[in-house]
Parts: sequence; C-alpha cells; structure tokens
Amino acid sequence: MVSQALECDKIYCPSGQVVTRHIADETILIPISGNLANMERLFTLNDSGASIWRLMDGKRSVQEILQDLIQEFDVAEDRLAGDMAEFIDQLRDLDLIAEHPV
Amino acid sequence: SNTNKKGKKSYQKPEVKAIVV
Repeated sequence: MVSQALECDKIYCPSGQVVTRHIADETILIPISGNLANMERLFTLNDSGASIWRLMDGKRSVQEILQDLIQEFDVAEDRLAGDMAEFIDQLRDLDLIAEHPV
Repeated sequence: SNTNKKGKKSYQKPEVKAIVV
C-alpha cells in the first residue's frame, strides 16, 4: 500500500460547483451546474469526513485542520495524516474542493 | 449517527460516498 503524503501548507475550500446541506445528521454535497442542482449524483460524508469538510474554509491550512481533528478525534497523527491525504485526493478528483491561493 | 475517556470522538477513516442558493 502506498502511503500518500499530506501537503500540509495547502489551503482548500469547497469548489464553486457544490453546495452543502446538513440534513438529519447527514452532510450531503450537491453538485450544481449553473444555478441548478445536479440531482443525478449526490455525495455523503461520514463524521470525520464532515469535520474535515467543515474546516476547509479557505482559511485553514491542511496542517491546521489536522491539528484540529487530533483534538476532536481519538486518532494518532500519522494515521490521520495518511487518511486525510487520501480523502483530499478523492475530493479533488470529484471536483468538490479547489485549492485556495495563499 | 458519536466519546472516549479523553472526551474525544471515536475515529473512522474519512469517507466520501457517491450516491435538496
């Protein structure tokens, strides 16, 4: 298994092509096209994924998010860093997040 | 859907699952 490197200094924010809805303890991401929701495909996040998503506000760096999550969840930093790198790659591949210029 | 003795939530690997201005 290849361990992915976490790019700690990068800052991400939701792309302009997705809106977030919190419904009944679920975090749902809805792709939009123009001004309309694309209802053919939605995305849901689990608890830790939703926490990362909430912290991706275009202000916090990946490193800052990592530190916040270590305070929130019972997890070792190394494991969280690897999981976060993979999760961020998934979000980027799905065009759900964009890198925020520093 | 959430703590251990340290007051932290139990951890699960973050996941995005593809399947509502």
